[in-house]
Amino acid sequence: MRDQALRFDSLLSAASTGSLSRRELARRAAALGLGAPMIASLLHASSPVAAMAQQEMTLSFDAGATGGGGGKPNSAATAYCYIVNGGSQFEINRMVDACLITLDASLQEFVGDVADSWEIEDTTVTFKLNPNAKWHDGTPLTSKDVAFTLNVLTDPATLSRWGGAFKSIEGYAEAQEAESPTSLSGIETPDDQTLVLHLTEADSGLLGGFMYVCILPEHILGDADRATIDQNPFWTENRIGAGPFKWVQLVEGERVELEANEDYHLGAPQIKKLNLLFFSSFETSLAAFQQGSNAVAAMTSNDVELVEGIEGAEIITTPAGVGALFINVSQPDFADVRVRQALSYAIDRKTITETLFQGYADPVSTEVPYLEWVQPDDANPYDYDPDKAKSLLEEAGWDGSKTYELWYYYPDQVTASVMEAMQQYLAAVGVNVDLRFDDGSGVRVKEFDEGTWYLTYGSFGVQPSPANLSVIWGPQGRRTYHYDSEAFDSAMDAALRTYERDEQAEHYKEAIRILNEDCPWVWLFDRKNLIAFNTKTLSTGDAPAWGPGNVLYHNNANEWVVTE
Amino acid sequence: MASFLAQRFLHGLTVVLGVSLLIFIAVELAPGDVVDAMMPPEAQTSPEAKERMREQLGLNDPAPLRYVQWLGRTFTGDLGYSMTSQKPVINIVMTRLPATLYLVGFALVASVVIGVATGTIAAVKQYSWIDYLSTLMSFFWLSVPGFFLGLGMIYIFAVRLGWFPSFGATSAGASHPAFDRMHHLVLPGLTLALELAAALTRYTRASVVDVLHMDYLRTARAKGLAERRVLTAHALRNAFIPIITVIAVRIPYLVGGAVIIETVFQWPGLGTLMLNASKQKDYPVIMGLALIITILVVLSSLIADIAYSVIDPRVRVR
Repeated sequence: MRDQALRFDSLLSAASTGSLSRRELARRAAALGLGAPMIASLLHASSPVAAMAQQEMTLSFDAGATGGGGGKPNSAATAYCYIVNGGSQFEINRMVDACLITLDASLQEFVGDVADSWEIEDTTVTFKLNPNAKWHDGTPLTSKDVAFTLNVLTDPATLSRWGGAFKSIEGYAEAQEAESPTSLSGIETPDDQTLVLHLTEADSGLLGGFMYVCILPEHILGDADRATIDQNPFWTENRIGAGPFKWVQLVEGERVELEANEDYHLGAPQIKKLNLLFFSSFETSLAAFQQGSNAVAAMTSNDVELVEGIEGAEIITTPAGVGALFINVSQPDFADVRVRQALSYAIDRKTITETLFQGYADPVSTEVPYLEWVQPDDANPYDYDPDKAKSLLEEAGWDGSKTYELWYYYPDQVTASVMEAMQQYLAAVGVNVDLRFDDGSGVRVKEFDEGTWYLTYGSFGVQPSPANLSVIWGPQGRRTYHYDSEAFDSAMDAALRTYERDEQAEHYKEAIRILNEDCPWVWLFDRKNLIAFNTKTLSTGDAPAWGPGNVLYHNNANEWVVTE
Repeated sequence: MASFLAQRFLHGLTVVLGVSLLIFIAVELAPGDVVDAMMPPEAQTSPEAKERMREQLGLNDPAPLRYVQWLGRTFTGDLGYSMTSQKPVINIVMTRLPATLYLVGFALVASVVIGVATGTIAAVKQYSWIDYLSTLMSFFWLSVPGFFLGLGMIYIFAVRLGWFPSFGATSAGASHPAFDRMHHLVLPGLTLALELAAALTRYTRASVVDVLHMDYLRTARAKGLAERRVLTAHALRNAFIPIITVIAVRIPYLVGGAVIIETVFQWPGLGTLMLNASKQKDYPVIMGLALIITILVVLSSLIADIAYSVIDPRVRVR
């Protein structure tokens, strides 16, 4: 009997892999003396439809609304080198590439990817790498690949947007003046599984820098010219990663086809074939979702009713970045903190989130509200109070006769309605604004470069680490955003110099409280990205499978299973 | 005929050069550049890095120099590199061109077949219910915008009835690739074809009705020819001359319409490429595409000219 069960198992496995023809399968099953129901189940397992259901999955992503100046260079199913700009093709990177460490999708904790563990002691950071990590061509992934990646990113010839995050590694300053190819003196690789970084000073923000970095294969790109590395055919033709899925091909303008990496260091994926589609219109993407062609699709709050009507569909929300009113504090009219606080009191965040965002946004008044561990308890919520706004403006001697340009760059209908509402709320307290949509023509960018802008509604995107706040509010951001606060700088500095999370949290809270009081921007809505997800066809396990599009969070894609 | 062709060819070349210059000037006058598009203020790129990038991409050279350089390289088939995807523009265009030709070609054939047949029947059966119905439908297809029609088609035939795929030109791992391609073509192809078909129905009907009242047809009937013969050998040949002009004039609209239809159906052709490149200010791609589309349009009008001269030799006489 046991023997028969074993033989049945082997037949079942042959059925699901398709290694036996259906006729041969039926013949052997009959020879085993199996009953009709057993034979039927074997034949079902071998049917092409069942095989597809077990192995193949199609996911679609928003190719990016590029109508505004926030435009990312992306187009339907086109793979780019992430080094220079990145962000828009992270959906591909998450599947094909491996990182040293990443964040979990809820952005609260670091998780190891190729790094098994890491230790930080004052100015030395030591990573231990997973010995099973391999490139898709079978070459072992070692600490030298990680060192190579850091050297490429910090090489000024590469023009990488992400290199600055590693400025605390010894040799960074020298590399900025040196001839390409540069290498940082503070990187050591004592053996294939150990990477040591020597820092010029303690830097708790360093780990956050890895959230945008996929490891590059030195054995393929080692000799590539750094200045043109983004044009290397590697990115679109000979793509070798170390992530859960292998690159099969890019069908230009349509999709990226991937297959399971059976040697993946965190476990072979359950899904054997994966197609990534990139739609440039929500309507088309949702129609395909409705039709059942793909299991995941980007959507807007206008589509909620439609998606809720689809059997098995669930709406997932992920942080989309805080919608804020950017204020040019260097303009004399907005230099007085009371004027900026008045703007904050003048806008009824609660009503706007409930009606226009249909609940898919929360009213907020602080930076990075989704990073709960750094939120100060005593932040001013700036509840809607037009009378207070008027009296603050009066105290500040506000001259209501002028009209200011208010730029916005999101092309969707919800934003357009929010802008009209804000215009009315501001007019009600005596602040007149003209709405101007940035269609990507570059006029707004020019105004930012020249410092002549007044107000803009937009978002700084989702920040995986509170250390990133100094990019805008610290010395780095001063040229564009003009905010200058010694108290803020010293709170941020203190947070960056300690590795104690509680201590860090205290300093970050202080920094965020200062911003909340100073109102260099008016933080308004913690917006959400909406994703339609078909639970009938795809199960992504217990961990949240989706996070913000602009962060390389860890997605556990190797554990996903096709359920129908 | 040879001198006629040479003349037409020279005309075409002048148009292509003129258009390329106009496109260059338009792109030049637009505020902002590819660096601004790639690095918005939110990206926090230092002005020095932006400047280095402009230098590296050759954006700091004087405009006339860049135009001449671009034109020179173009003659050797080198359209430069896309600034965003870093691939040679000619390769990108060539991978996308077949999809657009396929879509536009199908739409053209379908619209001519539907339009000319319906128009002719409507004219022959003037004031019958077929005539009224074709008039009604023509006005309907002419009035409904392409993108709306496309979304309607997707909703009815893809989402509700599930007869056709709603997007793309192929499916991953299709077992019958040729059938799969045809299957994907039906909705976008018909959406694109219907507007032209409607216009052709109107023109054909008017043209055939005009011809049917000509004296020489009465003569043909008087000498005892069968009505079918009168229609095919005498009436339609003359009636189709203006139709060919209409088709030739409409081909550029078809290519233009493809930009919108391709976006709605996520069709991997030149239209979606053009849209994305414009959003990203990817100049080499925009200019390369504009050039290719101009050549396509000039070629199609050249073909129309030739066809016209074959049907009616008088146009060759100057």
